Amino acid sequence: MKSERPDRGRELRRELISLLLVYAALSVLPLLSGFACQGGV
Amino acid sequence: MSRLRQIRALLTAWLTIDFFGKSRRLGKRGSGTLTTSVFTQGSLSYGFALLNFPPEQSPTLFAAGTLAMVGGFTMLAMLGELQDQLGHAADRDLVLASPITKASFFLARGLHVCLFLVIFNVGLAIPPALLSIWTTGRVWAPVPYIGLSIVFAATLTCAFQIPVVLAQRLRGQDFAASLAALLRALLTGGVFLGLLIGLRTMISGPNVFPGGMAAVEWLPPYWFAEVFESVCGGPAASARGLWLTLAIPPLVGISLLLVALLPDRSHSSRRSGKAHAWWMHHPVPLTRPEHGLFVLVVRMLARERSFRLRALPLLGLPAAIVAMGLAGGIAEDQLPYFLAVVHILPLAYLPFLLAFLPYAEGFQASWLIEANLGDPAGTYRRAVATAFAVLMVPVQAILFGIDVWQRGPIDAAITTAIALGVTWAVLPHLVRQIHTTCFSLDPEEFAIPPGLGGLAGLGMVLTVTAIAIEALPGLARTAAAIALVVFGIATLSRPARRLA
Repeated sequence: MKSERPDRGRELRRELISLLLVYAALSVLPLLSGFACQGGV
Repeated sequence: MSRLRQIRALLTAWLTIDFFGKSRRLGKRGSGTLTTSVFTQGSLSYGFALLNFPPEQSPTLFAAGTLAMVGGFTMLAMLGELQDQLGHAADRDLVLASPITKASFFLARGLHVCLFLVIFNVGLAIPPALLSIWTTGRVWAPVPYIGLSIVFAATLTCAFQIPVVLAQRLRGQDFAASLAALLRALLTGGVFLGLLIGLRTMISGPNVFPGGMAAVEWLPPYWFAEVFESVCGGPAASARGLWLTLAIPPLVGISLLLVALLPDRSHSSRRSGKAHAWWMHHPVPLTRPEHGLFVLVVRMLARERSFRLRALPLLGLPAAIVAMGLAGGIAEDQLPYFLAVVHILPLAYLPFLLAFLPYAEGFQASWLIEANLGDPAGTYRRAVATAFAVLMVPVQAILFGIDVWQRGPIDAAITTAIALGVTWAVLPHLVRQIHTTCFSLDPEEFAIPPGLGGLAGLGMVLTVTAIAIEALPGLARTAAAIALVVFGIATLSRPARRLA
């Protein structure tokens, strides 16, 4: 039976991706508010 | 193992601890903890930036206020992180016993601190950085904003780390940890105060800031904001702002490095030499085991790392509220009630401090006490009540000083006596929430005790009582103070009822 070898870096990489997603989520609202309050740049 | 692989291994291990924290330490798989806090603090930063985003806002003030907020929050997170790193004995032993060269270790640690700062700071800086597109009219404004905010947060962190490292070199790790906890308490209160004052300044203009525009211009966030403005095509930064922004970060960095290079003069075996400190002399009759635990509790409150890190910073918030109230100017007729509440605040906060008492990093040593006492929790209850009753005296003495400054000695003495009497009378009841041996649980498994809501309600009742007593006429108030002090001492001195 082949034993499952854990990939130590995989979960860390996944967490880094979710951190990037959090950054993306944090950028959406300010952009929307900026356009809503002041229009185009 | 090559140096690069050593550094990579250390970085991966530390980042895994940062991201997965508690769940990994317990050997479980779980979702990240750092990502969640980046998201919540980033949302807070967005709310703060949006509140200061009216069309007529001065771009420099907007940048200065948000930079101060981002820098302050990042610094608070970093100071906690720097204290936690290598604080766990198991981690320290594992890292220091592994075949890693000194240079790799310091390089990895430096890289990790920088990475953590950038990860946290970027999350906080994104919302104001994007809003600054509209305040400056430049699409690329977020890039210099985020860059400057990272430099600003790093400078702030280094500046506050200097006294901690200096204390560690001269007086040892214990003293440094106490100083760091005190600094964090002051900073938590300071950041809270700064948020309120900064918000008011950004909305109503610099005239409402204590000291006016001249004071704002002397604060580091303003220099960074000026540089940011001139980078984005605004008016050129003043020579002072430009030079200070360029000179201070390297200066602070070099100072920290120099302090860190000082030889370590502390010795773990050195004893304080004070066999009988002032707090050991109290009139409460205690049995020998109770007295032993009383001494242990007072010493542990000062020395226990998990207590210092978690419980003491909580005290920053009430301190900030008191400072703000006194600085804001309170009407003459309301001052006695405000001071009555200030005197009762330490007692109202006690249940939260008591919630941290069952935890200690050396929790496995609690068998020593459990094996020797018939009712360890009961003995502890009396020891803890006496410890806090004694420690409340210097706390009330400080408040007495503030009170004398505000009202004069006689009123201050009466209110202080009332607060002490109430505290001593209530303490034996408050400590009933202690059901386990103190310092016997792992701080990693901290859980909020179930009855804390009710005890917080008790804090409200006590506050109302203090105000009611303050409203009594002079003679009745003096009589109440004497009666409460006598009743308090009698309650404390009564032998504890043993649990069946």
